[in-house]
Amino acid sequence: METIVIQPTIDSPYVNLDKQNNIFEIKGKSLPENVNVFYQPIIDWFTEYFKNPNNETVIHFKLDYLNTASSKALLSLFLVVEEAVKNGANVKVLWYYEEDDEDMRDIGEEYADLIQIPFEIICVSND
Amino acid sequence: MALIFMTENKNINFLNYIQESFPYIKGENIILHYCGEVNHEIIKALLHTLESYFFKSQLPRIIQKKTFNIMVECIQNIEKHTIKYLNNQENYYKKGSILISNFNDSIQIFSSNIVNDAQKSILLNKELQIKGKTKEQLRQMYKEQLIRGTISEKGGAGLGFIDIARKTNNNLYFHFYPISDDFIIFTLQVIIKK
Repeated sequence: METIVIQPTIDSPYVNLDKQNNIFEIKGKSLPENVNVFYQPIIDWFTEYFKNPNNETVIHFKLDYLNTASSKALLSLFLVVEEAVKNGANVKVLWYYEEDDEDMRDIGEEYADLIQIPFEIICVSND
Repeated sequence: MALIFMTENKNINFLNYIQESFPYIKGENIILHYCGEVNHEIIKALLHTLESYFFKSQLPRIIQKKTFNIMVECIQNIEKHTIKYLNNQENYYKKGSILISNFNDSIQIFSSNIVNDAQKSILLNKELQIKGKTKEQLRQMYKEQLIRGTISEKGGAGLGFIDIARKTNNNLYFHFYPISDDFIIFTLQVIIKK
């Protein structure tokens, strides 16, 4: 399966989706001009990936900024993950937030409430 | 909603209205002021400007991040709730103003743009939805809208004002200044406590 690597910009995150090396991460700022154009290929990639996933899938989210349109797009992505979990995939989401960043922690908690998947919220020191 | 192409009042000075209404804003407090066409390229340019300012400032990172996020939502709100200006017979653009001030105890963001009566009604409704809501109530509203909302052509998911209210403990204030029978200046004041 083709690997997706998207370099970060001032308004969009770094994305690395690599089935072969079992790396799945999205990090940086997310406020792209058109969230559908940015996130739909990522959602499509995961939809395809979960047809034949690895034994264990850990998806890392390390976001600095997330605008509201992106938060909606991420929910769509998590719904794809939820469906995969229902179908037996072994998936875990790790949601990182910087110490003191209650806003990013809160949105992680809301996703954890809304979707039925293993979801860990991890505080990282901002030193 | 009917489109209204405004050909007059193109040169409203939003800064004058803000400084008349909020005389405590002095030049030395202003860290960013922009007035003009509003689009995604402008958002990126303003983010870059803010980043440069914050790089030299002593502001806690969490305040920086809140300011970034809220400024973006404010500009995207302008794009959603504003009249359109006619450039020529075929093209239009959107216009607004962003002012960010740094005080001892807070950062204040003022976003301004011109609205018509229908847009004012929508904004008043948004204000009513969030006014006086507790943190937990806002959290529930956010979750419900996150599930229910769809991403519009304008890029919104109906979450912008709720998100600003959550990030500021509901420290946002809607101000309307009529400028003619048909048009009103809308200013959103957001206070981020340090």
